[in-house]
Amino acid sequence: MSTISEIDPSFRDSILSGSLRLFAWLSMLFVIFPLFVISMLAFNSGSFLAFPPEGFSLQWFSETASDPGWIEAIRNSFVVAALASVIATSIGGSAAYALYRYDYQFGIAIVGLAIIPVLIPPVILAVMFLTFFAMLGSHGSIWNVVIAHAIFLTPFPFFMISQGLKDVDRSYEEAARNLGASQLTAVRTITLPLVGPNIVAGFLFAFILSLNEYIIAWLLAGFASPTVPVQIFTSLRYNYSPTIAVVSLFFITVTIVALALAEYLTDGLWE
Amino acid sequence: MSTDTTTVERITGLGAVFQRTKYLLISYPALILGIFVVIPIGILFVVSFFQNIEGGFYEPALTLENYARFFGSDLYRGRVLYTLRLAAIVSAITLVVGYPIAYYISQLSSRLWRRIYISTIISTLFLTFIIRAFAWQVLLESDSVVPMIGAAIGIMDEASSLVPSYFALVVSMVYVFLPFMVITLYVTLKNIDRSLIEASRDLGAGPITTFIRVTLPLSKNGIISGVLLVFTLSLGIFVLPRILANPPQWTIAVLVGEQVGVEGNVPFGAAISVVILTTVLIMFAIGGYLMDDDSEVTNA
Repeated sequence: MSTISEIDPSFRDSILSGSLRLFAWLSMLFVIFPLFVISMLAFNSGSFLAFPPEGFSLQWFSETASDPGWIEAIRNSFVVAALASVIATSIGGSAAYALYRYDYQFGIAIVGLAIIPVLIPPVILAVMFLTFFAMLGSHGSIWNVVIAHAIFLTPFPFFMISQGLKDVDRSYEEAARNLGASQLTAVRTITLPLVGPNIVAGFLFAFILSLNEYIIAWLLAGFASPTVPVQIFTSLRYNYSPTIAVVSLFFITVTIVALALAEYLTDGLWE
Repeated sequence: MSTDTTTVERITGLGAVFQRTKYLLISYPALILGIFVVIPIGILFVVSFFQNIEGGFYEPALTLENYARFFGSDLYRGRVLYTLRLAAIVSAITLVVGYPIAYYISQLSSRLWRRIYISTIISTLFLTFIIRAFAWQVLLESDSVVPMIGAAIGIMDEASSLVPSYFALVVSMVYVFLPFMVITLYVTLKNIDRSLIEASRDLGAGPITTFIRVTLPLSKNGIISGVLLVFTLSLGIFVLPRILANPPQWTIAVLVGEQVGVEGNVPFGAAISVVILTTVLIMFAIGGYLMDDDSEVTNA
């Protein structure tokens, strides 16, 4: 400490904040660089996945678009994500609204149930649902993935919508009711518009998490109806083609756009 | 607040409707979550006592064989200790790397820049582990970026492949968990009352003293939640060890996936799952106990 305090304090402060800034920038590079590398590989002209790429080409894009394996995987992924996130938002949203509007003796239990899926490691959720559906006599179905994802993702819309409702005064809705509006009209015209952005953000979270989920999709549907992450895993092991980079680039884009939209809608998710 | 509501509704004669809507509304999420969360957890527990039959089948039984196999074997005990140690190392590294980042962003006065930094950090948060593992595989291969740099600056003798390896596993885990750590610490650091820091500086404390005596203790809850989050996520990680590490470096969660998905021994996989789940719950209990009461985790 003694050597440090002999240095001019403002000089010392600028050294500290300068090195902190440098560290933050390097960290940003660490975060972005691997994604940048994958994106570059999608434009590779060589037939081998290696960085740096050999030259520029768009051939792997057309290759991917004409590959029935990838087309099917992309379709599976989007069908599962769309259905699962709609269901997750309906469960999370109705739970959040009910707990906001009414008081229940067992309210804390509902909160627990709506949050617990995110605390369980996905690989264990996968085994849970595998044994559950096996008892019902159902194996290897994409619909089981839809249900498992819906439950797994419920905490996200539940949390987002609860956060939004915290800022909405309950008396707004009561005022509308006292003025003669039905419960449904009061919700539709007062509460829904106020928490709309949070509902969409919760839905988007669930949607992109479902798109990107691997282990549940693999254990429940397997290679019979693979989603994109399952198909990438298979390709990494068996053919290692640059089409993996093209599909990855597509997924990176969808994920970042959805996340940016959620951030914009909620006007700074973490502020 | 509820008493006011009920009084009003009763006066207007809508009390019965109010009560009916109230329970009708909650029954949907309650029923679905009851059926698809509580029952599967119960079944997982029950199946962990079942008897495995060759060929991916199992039959109802009440045997402790699966647990005995797990706890009685040096292999699995060793694997548990290995996974816990890996989780601790990764948590420690992400904390040390993540704290300065979160601190730097929380200090920025421009709201726009804070949002840009945070958005960049979390841009990878939801991206499938598969794609991120693939990215690191490409980066760590021989002839690729990292080994070439390593050879050029003399850390490595030659640009040989760094994957699959324990090093690749740790680097990729830090990479995927860093956003979780940064975001958790950021939320805590941003909520620290700036006047406390200014007061410390006005009273003559330097930036380092202020950090150690004021900022660090005030961010205790964020540190605990961040470490807890990364630690429990590490226990459940499957994809990264599977792709980037050798079989001796596979974690306990990979064993679950392999037992169920490849070996077809569901009861044994279920027993390991119950052990992991119990460990995770104990971790959360310890974390909750360590955290200060004014924690904002339970504000839902």
